[in-house]
Amino acid sequence: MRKPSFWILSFVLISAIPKTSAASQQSWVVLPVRAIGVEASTAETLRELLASGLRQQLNAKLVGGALTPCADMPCARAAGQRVGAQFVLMSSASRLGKKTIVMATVIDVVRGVQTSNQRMSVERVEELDTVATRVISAIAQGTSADKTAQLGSITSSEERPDRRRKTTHSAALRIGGIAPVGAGYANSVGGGMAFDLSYFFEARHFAIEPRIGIRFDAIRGSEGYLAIPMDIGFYYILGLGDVAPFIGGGVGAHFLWDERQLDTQLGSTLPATATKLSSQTAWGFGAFARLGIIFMRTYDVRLAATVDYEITFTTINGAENPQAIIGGLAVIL
Amino acid sequence: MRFWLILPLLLTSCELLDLQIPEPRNCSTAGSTADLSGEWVIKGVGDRKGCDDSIWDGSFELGPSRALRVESTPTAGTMRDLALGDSISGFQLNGHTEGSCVDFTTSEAVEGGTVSYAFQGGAASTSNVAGTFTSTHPLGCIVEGTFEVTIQP
Repeated sequence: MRKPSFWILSFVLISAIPKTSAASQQSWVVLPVRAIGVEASTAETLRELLASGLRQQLNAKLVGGALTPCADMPCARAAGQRVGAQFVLMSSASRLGKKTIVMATVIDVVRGVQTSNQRMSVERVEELDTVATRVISAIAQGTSADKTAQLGSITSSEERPDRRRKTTHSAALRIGGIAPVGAGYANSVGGGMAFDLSYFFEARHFAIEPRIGIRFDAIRGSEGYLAIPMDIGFYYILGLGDVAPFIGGGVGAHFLWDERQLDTQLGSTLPATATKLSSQTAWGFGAFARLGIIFMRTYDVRLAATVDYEITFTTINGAENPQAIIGGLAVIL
Repeated sequence: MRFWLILPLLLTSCELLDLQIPEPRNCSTAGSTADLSGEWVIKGVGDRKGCDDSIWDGSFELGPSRALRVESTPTAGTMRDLALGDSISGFQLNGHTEGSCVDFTTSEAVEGGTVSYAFQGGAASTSNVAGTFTSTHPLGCIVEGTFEVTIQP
C-alpha cells in the first residue's frame, strides 16, 4: 500500500508534463490578413501575432503554403483544403478614421462551418499585440473577445468610459405649506410650513430629485408636530416648453415628532381613564405622489409649482400612517 | 442607639433603589366581620409606568365603576366571601372580608387581554371601604393607586 504522498507527487508530476503530443495537435492555417487602409507590414505583423498565439494557446500545428487573403468562407475553406489544414483563421484589419478594426473568423475545413467570429477595434497600432492575444483567447475559450479582458490586456478604447446622455442638475429650494389629513400630525391640529432642499437632475422627459425637508405646525398651543422627510423622487415631464407639467412620486425615510392631548380609556365596567399631553417620535418608510408644473423650463433658472400627497407608514401617538397634503413653490437654480 | 443612626440611611437607600414601603392597612382582622353586601361603586386614582407604549404612562382615574351588585356570604371562621350578585359579561369580582379588612380582585376583558386589579382596604363602615390597589396589565404597565368603594345597602 503506497503512501498518499506518493500519489499526490505522481499527480503533480504528470500534470506538469507539457501537452505537446503530436496526436492531439490540430492543424491550422493562418491566412494573410486582408488589409484595408492598413499598411502591409502591419497586416503581416498581425498575422504573425495570430499565428504565434495559436501555437501558444491552442498548441496548434501550423501549416502553410502559397496563400492569399480571403474575404469569404468558400475561399478560406478552399485554401485550407489545399494545404491540408483542419482549421483556417481568416482575418482582416480595416482603417476607420482613427480606429483600426480587426476581424477574425475560424473556419472548420472538414465540416465547412464557421466556428468563431471575433471583432475588436484599437486606436493605436501598438495595441494589435493585445488584440491578437485577446482574439486567440476568445477562440480558445469559445467566447467573444470583449469577455477576455484582463488586467494588462485592456485596450485604450476599452478604458475610456462610454459616452452618456447629459442631464442638467441644479439645487432646488421649495417653500410651501402643509395641511394634515386624518388623525396624524397631532390629530390634524392645523396647517403648517414646509421647506425642501433638493438636487434636481433633469433630462428631456424625466427628472430625479433627492431631497430633505422639514414640516412643522404654525399653530400656537401645546399640541404640535414636526416631520423631516428624506426621499428620492422620480418625475415624468410632459413637455419641453416653458410651461411643462410633470407627474411622479418618491420614497424614503421620514422622521416624525408629534405632541397631542390624548384621552385614553381601558375597560368599561371599571374604566381607567386618562388625559395627558403625549409626546412621541417615530421613524417610518415614507412615500409621496406629486403633481407639478415647471415654469420657464427653457431657462437655467426655473420655477416649479407642486402639490404633494405624503404618507409615512408608522404609528405615532396611536395614529396610524400620518398623511398630509403639501403645496409649494420651488426655485431650481 | 445605633439603630436610630442607621434608620435614616436605610430609608434613604430604599428611596434611591425605588423600593416601595407598603403603607400599613387601616384595618383589623380582629372583631366582627361587617356584611358589605350592596351596590358597590368603585373609584380611585392611580399611576401607570413602564407601559409597552408610552401613551399609557402617567396618572389616571379609576372609575367610577358601574353600580355592582355584590353579595357578602359567611364562610369558615369570621371570614365572609365577596362575589357579584348579578353576573356582568366580561367582568368578574371576587374577594373576602375578615374583621374590617377587605381584599378583592376585579378582572375585565379589554382589547388585547384582561386587566386585573387587586384591592386591599379597610371598611370604615358598612358603606365605605378605602385602601390601595395594584394591577396586572395587558399593556405591560406597573400600576398602583388608592381607591374608595361606596356601598349602598
